[in-house]
Amino acid sequence: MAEVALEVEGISKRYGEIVALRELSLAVRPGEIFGLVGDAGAGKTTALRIIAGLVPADDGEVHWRSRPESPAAGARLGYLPQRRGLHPRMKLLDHLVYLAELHGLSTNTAHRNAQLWVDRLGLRPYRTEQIRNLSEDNKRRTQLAAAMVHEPDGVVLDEPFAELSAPDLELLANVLRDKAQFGSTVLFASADAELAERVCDRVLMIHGGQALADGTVDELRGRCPVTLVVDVAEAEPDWAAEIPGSRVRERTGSRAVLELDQETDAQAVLAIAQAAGPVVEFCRRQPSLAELYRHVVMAGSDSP
Amino acid sequence: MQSESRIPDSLRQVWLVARREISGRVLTRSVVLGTAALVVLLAGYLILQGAVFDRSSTTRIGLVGQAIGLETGLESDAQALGIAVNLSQVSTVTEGTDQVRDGQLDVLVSGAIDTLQVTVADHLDDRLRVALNSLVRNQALDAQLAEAGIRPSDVDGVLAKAGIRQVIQLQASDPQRTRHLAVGLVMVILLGCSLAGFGILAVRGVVEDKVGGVVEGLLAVVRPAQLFAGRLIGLGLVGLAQLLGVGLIGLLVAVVTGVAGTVGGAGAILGVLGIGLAWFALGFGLYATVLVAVASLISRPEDVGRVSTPVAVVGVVVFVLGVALLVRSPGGMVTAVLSVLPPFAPVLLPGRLALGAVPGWQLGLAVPLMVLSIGALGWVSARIYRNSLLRDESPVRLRDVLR
Repeated sequence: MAEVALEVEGISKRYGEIVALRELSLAVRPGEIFGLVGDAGAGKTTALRIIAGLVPADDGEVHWRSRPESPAAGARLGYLPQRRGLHPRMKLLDHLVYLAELHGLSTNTAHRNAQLWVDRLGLRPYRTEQIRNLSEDNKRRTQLAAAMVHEPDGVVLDEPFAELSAPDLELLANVLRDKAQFGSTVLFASADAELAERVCDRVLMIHGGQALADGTVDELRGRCPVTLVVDVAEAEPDWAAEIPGSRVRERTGSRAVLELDQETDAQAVLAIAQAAGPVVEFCRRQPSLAELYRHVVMAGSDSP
Repeated sequence: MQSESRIPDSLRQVWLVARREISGRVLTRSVVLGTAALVVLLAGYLILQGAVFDRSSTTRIGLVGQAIGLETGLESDAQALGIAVNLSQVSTVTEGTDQVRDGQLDVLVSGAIDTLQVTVADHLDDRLRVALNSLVRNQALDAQLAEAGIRPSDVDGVLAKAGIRQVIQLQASDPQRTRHLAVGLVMVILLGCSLAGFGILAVRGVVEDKVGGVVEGLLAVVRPAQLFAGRLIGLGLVGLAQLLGVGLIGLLVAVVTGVAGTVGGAGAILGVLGIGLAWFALGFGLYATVLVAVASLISRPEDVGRVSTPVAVVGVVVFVLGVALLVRSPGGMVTAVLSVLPPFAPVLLPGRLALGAVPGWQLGLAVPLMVLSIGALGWVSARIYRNSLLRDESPVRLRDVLR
C-alpha cells in the first residue's frame, strides 16, 4: 500500500443539536489532489477545519504523515479558509512575510518566499499596496499566496474555486498540480462538482455530514448506471420500452437516453436498436461528477 | 527535541502578532488623534492652572478714604489667616471701582469703619471677609471699652492669651494635599481616557478580525491564546507609549508654566507618571481581557454595543465613583477598601498613591489581587475567545462557548 500522508479516522462533530459530521474517514497519499464534494451544509467546512486543526473533533483522529495532528504540525499545513480575509491595512508583501514568519520561517526565507509567490501569481506591481486597495481578483490571489507562502507539505483549501475568473481558475489548477507534483498533499472542498472534477485525482462525496462514496472519478462512474444515447430513425416510439435491465430517461423525437444497469450489455441494446430501425447515433455518455453526486445522494436517501 | 523548538517558536509567534498590532496601530488616525486630544487637554489644564495659580496667589487690595486706617491691622490679620495680600492706596472710590472692574485690584475697601464698604469683581474671599469683620468688630469693641473706662490694651492682653491651648493631630498633615490631589486627579483622568480609548481599540481589532474573516486564516497558524496574548501585548505597549509620551509632554509644560514647582517638582511628577504607567498595564490587562472576550462573541459590527455596554458601564461607574471618592474622602475607609479591589484598583489606587496615602500592606494586597484577577479572567476570556471565533451567530451565547 502506498504511503499515506493524511489519514482521517472516523471524525465526528456536533454543534448543539446539529450533527455537522458523522464518522468521516478518508486517506490522502502524498502527491495526490483530493476533493471533498458536497452541497451546502454537507459538513465540508467542519471536516476541513478539524483536519487543519482549527477545531477539535468530538470523536475520531486526524494524522498527518501518521503523526497525530497538533499545533506544531500546523506549521507544515497551508490553509485557505472559505471566508477569506486579510488585514486590510497591511501591505501585500508585508502581509505574506508576516504569515510566513508566523509559520516559523526565518525573516530572510519569509521574504524570499513572499517575493517568489508575488511573482508567480502576477502580483508584483501591487506588492506595496495595502490589501484594501487591491481588486477582488488580486485579493483572492493574495489569499492563495498566503496559504502557500511557507511551502507547506499539506494544503487544505475550502471552496478554492469560488468566484474565480477563468484565467484564475487555470492559475489555481496549475498551482495545485505543481504542489502535488512535488509531493505535497492537496485536499480541497467544493460544492462545484464540475470544477472539482477537472482538478482532483480522487473524490469523496459527502452529504448531511456523512461520506457517501469515494474513489477516483472513473471508479465512481463505474458504480453508476451506464447512460446510452441512441437515435434510431423511423423506429416505433416505444422500441426501447421493453429492453430488460434498462430504463428510458429521456426522449426527444427519435432520440432516446437510456439508463442501463451495471450488468446490462450495451451490445445487446445495440442489437435491439438495429432491429428497430437504422441506428444514426449510438454513444455511451460519461456522467459528470455532478450527475454522479446527484445519483449517489438519491441512492443514499433511498436506503434506510 | 520537538518541545525544545516549540517554546521559542510559540513566543516568537506571540511577538509577531504583537509587533503587527503595534505597527498597525501606532500611526493610525484614532491613536494619533487620541494622543493629540490628550496632549491638548493636559497642556490646556496646566496652562490654566499656571495662570490661576499666579493670579490667585496674592490678593490685591485697594484702600480708599478712612479705610486707609485699616492698613496695618488688615495686613497682620490677613497674614494670620494665611492670605497673601498686597495693599495699596487709591485716591477715589470711582478710580478704585474701575481698577477692580479692570482686574488690576481684587478688592476695594472704602468708607468709614462703621459703614465699611467692600467692592469685588464677583465674590469676596471668605477668609478676607472674616479678617475685615474682625477688624471692624475690634474697633467697635475698643470704642465701647473706652466708653466703659477700660483700657483696650488690657483687654487685648487677656484676649491674646485666650484660645486653643493644644491641637491633637491624629494624622500627619499634608500642607500640599490639594495640589497633590490635583496631580493625582490629572493622572487618574489620563489613565481613564487611555483605558477607555485602548479598550475600544481592543474591541475594534477583534471585531475586524472576526467579521473581516482574517481570524480563520490566522488560526491555522497560531493558537487562539497566542493571538489573544499577542494582540493585548501589542495594544498595551502602544497604550503605554502613548501615556508615557503624553505624560512627558505634560511634565515639560508643567515645568515651563511653573506649575511643576508648586507640586513638588519634576521628580514628583515623574513618580506619579511611573505609578500611572504601572497601573495602566494592570488596568488594561483587566479590562481589555474582558473586552476582547465579549468582542469575540459577535459576528456583526452593529452588535458591538450589545456586548460591550455592560463592561463600559462598569468602567464608567468605577471611574466616576473613583474620582468622586478621591476628591471627597481620599483617606476614608470606603476609599481604602475599594481601592484594593480589582475593578476599582486601577483608578483609586494610583490616585491614592499620588496623594501619598497608601500603607504598604494595602499595595501588597492590591497588586497580587489584580494579577490574580487578570489571570483568572484571562483564562475564562481566552476560552470564550477560542470557542467564539469560528462561530457565526451574533452574539454567540455565553453558555455555548464556556464549555
